[in-house]
Amino acid sequence: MAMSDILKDKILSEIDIDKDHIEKFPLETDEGTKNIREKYHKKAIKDRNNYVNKEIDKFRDYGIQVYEEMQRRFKSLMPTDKSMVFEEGKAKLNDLEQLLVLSSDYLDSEYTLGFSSLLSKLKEGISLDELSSYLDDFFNKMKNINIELTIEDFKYSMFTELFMKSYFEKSNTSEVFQQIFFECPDIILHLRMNLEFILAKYKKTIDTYVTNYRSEKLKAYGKDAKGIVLDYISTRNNNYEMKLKDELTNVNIFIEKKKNIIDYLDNAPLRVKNFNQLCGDYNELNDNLKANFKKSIIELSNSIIELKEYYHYEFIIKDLVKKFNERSSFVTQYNTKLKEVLKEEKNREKIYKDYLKSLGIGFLAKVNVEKQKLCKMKMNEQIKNLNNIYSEIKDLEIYSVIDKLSEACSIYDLFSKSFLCYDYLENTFTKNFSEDEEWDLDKEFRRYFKFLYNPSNEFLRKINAVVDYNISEIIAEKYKLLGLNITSEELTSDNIDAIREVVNYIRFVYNVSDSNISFKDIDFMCHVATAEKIAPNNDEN
Amino acid sequence: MTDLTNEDLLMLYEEILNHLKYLKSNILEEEKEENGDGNE
Repeated sequence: MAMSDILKDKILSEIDIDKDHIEKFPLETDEGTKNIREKYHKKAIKDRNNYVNKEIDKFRDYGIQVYEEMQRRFKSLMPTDKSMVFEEGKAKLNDLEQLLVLSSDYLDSEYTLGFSSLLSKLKEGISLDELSSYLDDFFNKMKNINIELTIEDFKYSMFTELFMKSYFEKSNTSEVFQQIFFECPDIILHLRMNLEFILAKYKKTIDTYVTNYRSEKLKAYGKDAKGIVLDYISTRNNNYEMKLKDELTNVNIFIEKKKNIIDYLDNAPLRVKNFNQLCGDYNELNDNLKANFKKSIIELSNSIIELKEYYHYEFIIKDLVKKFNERSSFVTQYNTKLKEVLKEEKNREKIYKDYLKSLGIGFLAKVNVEKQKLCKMKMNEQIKNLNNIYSEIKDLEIYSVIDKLSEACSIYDLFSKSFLCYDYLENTFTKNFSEDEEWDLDKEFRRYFKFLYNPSNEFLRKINAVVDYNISEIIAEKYKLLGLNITSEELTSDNIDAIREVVNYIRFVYNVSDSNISFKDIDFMCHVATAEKIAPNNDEN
Repeated sequence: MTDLTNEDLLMLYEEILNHLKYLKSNILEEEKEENGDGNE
């Protein structure tokens, strides 16, 4: 039944009639004897109660009709579920992200193919099952590149050879591991270094594979690396905007009481306060200024997201700038260490050859048990020595990478170059974030990657990294010029959350205003969602 | 005859709920009548 103003007037008038009738209903009489008066009173009560009960039934019916109409309107206002569209957008973005990783100049083949992340998991203390699964993963990745590894690839030390024999034969792996462990407690380290050695050995093949695979994928996609970056950025922007303006999400925020609708209606004190905080008196602005204000707020909101991420990684840029300024002597050290490691790898090979001889393998070789023990001892020492040199190289590698940049490099150039030094980032991330139990290295790498490809990271690209700068001042100046009341103090890492809340509030108001539902409609829906339901019979009494 | 606005509909529902409360609060206690035939 349609709810008309006529019905409303009828109901409201019946309410008045009821009140008048009940209040004026004569319950007593002055006439007759006491007995007659009492009988009159009893009857009057009964009659009035009958009237009231009849009215209760009638108004309950009215209530049910109005409630049903409210529900009908609630349902018709309820926005459609766009999860499928979001899922499609997400899948498209994931595909583009993979293409981006593949085509990025800032990532090396080992990172692109997931070897860096895999090797970082090979650490002391992992279980034998984990070790086997990481080795399987390594073999599969190599197989994808058409490299079939054999036992010949695992003669880095006599211990890696022994363990990998059992791995290839798939027998007694656990017993062999335990047997090796007594003679070589660093077996995991030996294996990791063996895998790194394999990656170095096949580097050319791996790089060629990545280059070919990249061109194939780019050709199939129909765009070059720059085109992919642009598509990634626009897809990420669209997905983000779509999500921000999604009517169902925004309605549910209020229905689930995550936000209070009262604070968002026209002239709500919080709304007036937040808008005025950034523009003086919002109502005084003409339409043109209001449109400019909206544009600036959306930009500022994106800048704040980027700035928050910048603060999250600020320790890296500070460290990189420091390293960039003192790089010259370290680059020399790095090159010296590279030569040293080649020499020490040869020494390792010699120890291995001596060991083979002590087994009686080779021309004129004789079995010598004592020498076997000595070689094993020497190998353990040599691997430790090599590991130390490689660690130093990994620490110094970042100097060599950033040395390729000029003094005119931007913050963005420094950040992105760091991606070529997986070990540097792994160490820096671990040092700064690993106290948090929920923290995960792979997720952090992905976050860092997304930070670098943030659609609105323009300031990172514009600011020179080696000249002193105050990031909050630069951003504040930009928005002051656009007419916003904002200070650099409000954008510092300590204060940014307060201004972020205000800006997010205003942006949220714009998101809803630009969508197909109004705050007025949401207010109605919130009332309906919490409205008391009338029971259809008298039972509730 | 025009359709009620959402605000009017909410207001009307509120009035009905209040009136139902008013009506329920106006039910008076009735004394039981004693019958001379011995039945209750």
